[in-house]
Amino acid sequence: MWREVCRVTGAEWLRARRSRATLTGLVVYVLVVGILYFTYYLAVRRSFVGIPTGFYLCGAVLSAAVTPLAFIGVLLIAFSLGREFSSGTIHLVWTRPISRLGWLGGKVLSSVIHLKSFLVLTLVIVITVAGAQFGFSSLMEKDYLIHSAGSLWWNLLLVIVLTWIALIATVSIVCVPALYIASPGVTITVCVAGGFVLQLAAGWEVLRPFLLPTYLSSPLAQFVAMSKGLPLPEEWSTLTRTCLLGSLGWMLAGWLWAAWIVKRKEVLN
Amino acid sequence: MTSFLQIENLHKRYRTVHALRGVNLELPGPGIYGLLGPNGAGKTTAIKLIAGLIKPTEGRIRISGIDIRDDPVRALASIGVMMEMPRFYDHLSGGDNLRVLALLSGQRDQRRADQLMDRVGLSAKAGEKVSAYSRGMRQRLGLAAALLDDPRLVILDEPTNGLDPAGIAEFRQWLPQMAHEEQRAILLSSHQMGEMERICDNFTIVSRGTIVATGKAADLAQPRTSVVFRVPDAEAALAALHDVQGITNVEVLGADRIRADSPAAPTAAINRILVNRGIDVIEITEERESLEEIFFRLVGRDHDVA
Repeated sequence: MWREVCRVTGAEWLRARRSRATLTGLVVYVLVVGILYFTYYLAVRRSFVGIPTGFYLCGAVLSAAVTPLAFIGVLLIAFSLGREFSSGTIHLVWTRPISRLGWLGGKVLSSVIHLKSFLVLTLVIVITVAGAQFGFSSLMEKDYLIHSAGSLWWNLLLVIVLTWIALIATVSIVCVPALYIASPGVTITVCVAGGFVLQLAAGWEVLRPFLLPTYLSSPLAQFVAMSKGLPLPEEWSTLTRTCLLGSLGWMLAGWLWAAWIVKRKEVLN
Repeated sequence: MTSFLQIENLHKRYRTVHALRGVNLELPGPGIYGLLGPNGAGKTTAIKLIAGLIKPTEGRIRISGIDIRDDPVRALASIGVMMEMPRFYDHLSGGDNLRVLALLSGQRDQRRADQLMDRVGLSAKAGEKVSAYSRGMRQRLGLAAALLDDPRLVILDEPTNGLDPAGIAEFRQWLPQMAHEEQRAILLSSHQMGEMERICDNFTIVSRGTIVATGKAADLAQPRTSVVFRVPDAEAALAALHDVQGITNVEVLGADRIRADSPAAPTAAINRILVNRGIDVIEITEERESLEEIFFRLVGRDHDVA
């Protein structure tokens, strides 16, 4: 059973890989999160009315980390799919008795699980540093400004789940250019450019509810407001429903499109 | 018993190119089947179609009786493919590459990967990264990967490219063993005519997207009309055969050899004439059309062989 899970998720492949690049990437990511934390901490010290709180820093850093997390998602799937085609190893894989859809599912699942690890890692770093700095008891106080600590924890969990689902949707959508372009570098460039366009488009009120960046950033923005002790701009239930439906829509569109490409794809080179 | 491979009326069109035009081919049982053709004849297209890497425009491919369009996973379970210049995950070791591929195929027993590394002579290098492998080592690893699922049909595209003479000799040993002892059908594409002639049992010659000939080399060769006799005195033999009916031409090849072109007279009859006239015949060689000659006769000399 465990081996089967490893096979499907690609964990076995990662274990076999023992790549220095993977470890370097992980260290770089931890540094990025650390820098984000202290940047927010210093910014809050200068401009925030009152003291910087542990919860606020958790929310703010997670909110800022969404961009690198989405970028990591693009990197993972672009390399995972694109490199098979650009290096020619696709010959090796697609001539074996495995279904192409199963292969695609394994790639997506493996990227999604790695992304989840990054998300959890971010949370662990932030909570550890915030706890060490402000004391862990400050994250457990019953009355935390106007919101209770209990609801803060629950909502933080909800934010993590919603963000993860939105990240899965991102990964699913990136499968499409990765399969069409079949080159990791070009796919990443196209996706980064596409990300900028989506960010710009999100400025337009009419389009905003339908765009993926909204589902990535809205729950986090809500949590940041909550952790500052501000009144909530939206009902959690409304936000959750919107983000879930939006993300699932993008995810489904990405999966169906990618599955269609994979079924028809020919390896000409 | 179902054929190892059955191809019916196979067509493949790219945008402007009709790469395969109604190809029919059957590999009925174990054996080594050579696929010959000039560059651009459609050999690699045919191999990619059988391997499921590209889709046919028209026609059917059945592997062990299973149509590759209906059930590609089951069909691919009976074949092993080694493409020209096989590619691997360079950052993994050769052994890990095989183990990852075995996992992909759902094999839990990793011993087969180790056995195959040993069989292709790579067990000492199994722990080295593939990026450090020579081309010949990659070819060997490619063969091991092709055999991983214990397939009935093995497709090898230019397997001896990049191998040193010792490696080619090993391949020459492995292929008949795989075909005749292990009962596999091997579809082999190579441009090394001499090697192909020595190894393969049957040949299929492809030109401009169609099969121009298929069969054993002896069947494809034109009836041989020349016989070379080694005799003590070539001039005396020339004089003896000069006016014999059925011999169109006699040629002296050296002090002790003559060639007689005899579309009508059997070799034994010519031999009898020489002996009756007191000329000892030391050796008789019937000249057979070589695979290369067959190929150029069928395809024309204005093509490269590949």
